[in-house]
Amino acid sequence: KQMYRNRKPPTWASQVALDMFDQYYKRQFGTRWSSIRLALLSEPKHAALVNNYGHAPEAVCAYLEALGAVDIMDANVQQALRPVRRAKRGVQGAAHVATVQEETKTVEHSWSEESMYDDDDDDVPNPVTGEPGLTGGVSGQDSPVSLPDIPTNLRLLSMADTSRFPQAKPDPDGILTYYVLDAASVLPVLALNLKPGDIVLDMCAGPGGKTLAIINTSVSLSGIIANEPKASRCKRLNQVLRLYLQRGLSVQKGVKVTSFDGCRWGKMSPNSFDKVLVDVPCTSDRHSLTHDEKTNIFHVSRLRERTELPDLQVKLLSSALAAVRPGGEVVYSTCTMSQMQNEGVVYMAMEHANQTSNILTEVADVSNLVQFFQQTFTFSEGCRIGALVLPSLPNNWGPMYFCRLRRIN
Amino acid sequence: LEIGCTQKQVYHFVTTNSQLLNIPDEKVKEVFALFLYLDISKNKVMDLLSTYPEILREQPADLKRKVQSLQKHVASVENVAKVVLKCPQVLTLPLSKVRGVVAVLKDNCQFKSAQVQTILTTTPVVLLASPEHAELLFQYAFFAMGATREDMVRAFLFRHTWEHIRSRHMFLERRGMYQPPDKKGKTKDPNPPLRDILATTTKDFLTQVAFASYEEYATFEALLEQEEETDADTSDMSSSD
Ligand SMILES: C[S@@+](CC[C@H](N)C(=O)[O-])C[C@H]1O[C@@H](n2cnc3c(N)ncnc32)[C@H](O)[C@@H]1O
Repeated sequence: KQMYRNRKPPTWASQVALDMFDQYYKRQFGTRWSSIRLALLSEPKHAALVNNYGHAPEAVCAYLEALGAVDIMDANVQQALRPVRRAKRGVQGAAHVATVQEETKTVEHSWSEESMYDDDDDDVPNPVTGEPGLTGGVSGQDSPVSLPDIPTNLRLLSMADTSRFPQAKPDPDGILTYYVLDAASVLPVLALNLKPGDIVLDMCAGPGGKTLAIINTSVSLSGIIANEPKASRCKRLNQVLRLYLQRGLSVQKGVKVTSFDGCRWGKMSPNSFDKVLVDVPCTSDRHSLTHDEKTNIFHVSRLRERTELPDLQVKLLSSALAAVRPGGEVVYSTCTMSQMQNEGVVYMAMEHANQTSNILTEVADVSNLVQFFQQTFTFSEGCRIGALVLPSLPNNWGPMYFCRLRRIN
Repeated sequence: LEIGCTQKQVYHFVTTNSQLLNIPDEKVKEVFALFLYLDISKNKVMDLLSTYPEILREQPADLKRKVQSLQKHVASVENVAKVVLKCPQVLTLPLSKVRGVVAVLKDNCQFKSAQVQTILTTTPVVLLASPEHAELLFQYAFFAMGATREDMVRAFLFRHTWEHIRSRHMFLERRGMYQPPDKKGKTKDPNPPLRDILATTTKDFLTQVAFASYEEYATFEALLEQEEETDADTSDMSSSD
């Protein structure tokens, strides 16, 4: 009977997660939820972050390009992805509607009624290319438009179709040539707006994907602290750094690995960093729907941990706001679409930092990133502060929320 | 000429199917007679034989027996004619093959006789594939989708490939628009009709059932195929160790 079964049946925890998402996100996203749900339950897209500290990064790029990948950090590539003119409409009828409806609208809206809409061309996603609507406070400009400058040396290659990247191999020096990740996870790193001489804290470094991206921007930083309290993950972090950086390079780049509870950094070293990245533990929407029961945050045994997540997130972000110097910037990021864990936590942490430590902060703009990557990522239109990448086919990246905060005093 | 065709028709027929000249007149006559019994017009018979000349390679007696057996399964001569016109290759199948598929439809899938008749007349291609294939499609529709036998007949289930059925179904299910049936095959809310899911053009399916863009569906199909390969790979690995 196995033969007619679809894949593995969902585990208990992943079913709990799906049921909760169905309730919660349907309200948040309306009819758009179907498309997000489909993307979450399908294989994610991967990108290859080329290791600039390998033997021959140019050759690695050429190799990946020969496999059918394009560098999505390249402004020319982004420009080329833009449709020259909005395509004719009316062909796909309801196909529009599925992507057009505002997220906050509820499902009750009848399809036929919606498909009658006519004007307002600018905010309408292109039905043919599935081009996402405009977002994040960027006003509807028509192409051709010059892209904002995103200064970085990152090389991030993405396949044009659904094919996968082969496993990265060591180069002649024994250094791995690229790191496979979700392309959306470089957005928080780019949002850090790194400047030469910056001292950076990566407060929840995990296995080190974002740490590696920070290093690969090739900005000559004065120091990077990669912090990860969980022993197993910290071990993996050290391993990743060893696999991707030549001996001695870590030291030369000022990379240090620490293992503290992130909540302590604010007290331990206040006003010390130019930039802090807080990539908090969260309900990880995509991971929660996979079949891995043991590590699923929706497992019964982790109920408490899950319900306490927003608290922990507020504490971590507040701690970061204290650890950054006045004038410095903090980027908060998650891989969930939950408003409570995203904007909710940002508001609460700003409030909390103000109440307890007299720290004033403001939300900084990220619309340049949203604009630059509009063809690569599908950004949510319902995000008031920061930006949220919504999974969608064929742009199956994310979810990834990020928000930049500037400390005023 | 004896079988009542015009000279021109015969000429055309013979020139385009020169190999027929090697076949004895008697045999050709008998075959034609059989088709006339089914009330299929001469023009159609000639079209049919020129597209499927292998039919003439069969023994007339065998053909007669096949027609009789079909008639038993589909109840009337008109229905046999429908089957033959829709899917002439049926006549080249061994009798046991037809019997095998019909037995699976009746016994394993438990379709009623009337349903089997409709399936055979509307979807004779079911006879060309293996009985196991028919059973696989049935099981998928029945267990994974919770469809009734009546739904399946109306949706021309056996006309579709397994890949088609699965990708249409999985697409809706992952979009949250198709509820998996419980153990009794029941769902809380009704699912869209099987016929609308399967027997529709991609465009109609997307605009009227799934409310999705074409690009979304095309990407999904590609991903599903990859999943399939990966699953196959991993099961290979687990079986080897
Ligand atoms: C979303 S993951 C980080 C992924 C990583 N930034 C990357 O890009 O590869 C969150 C990490 O925060 C860590 N973490 C959990 N509690 C923490 C705490 N109190 N302080 C700092 N980090 C914590 C977890 O162990 C986990 O590795």
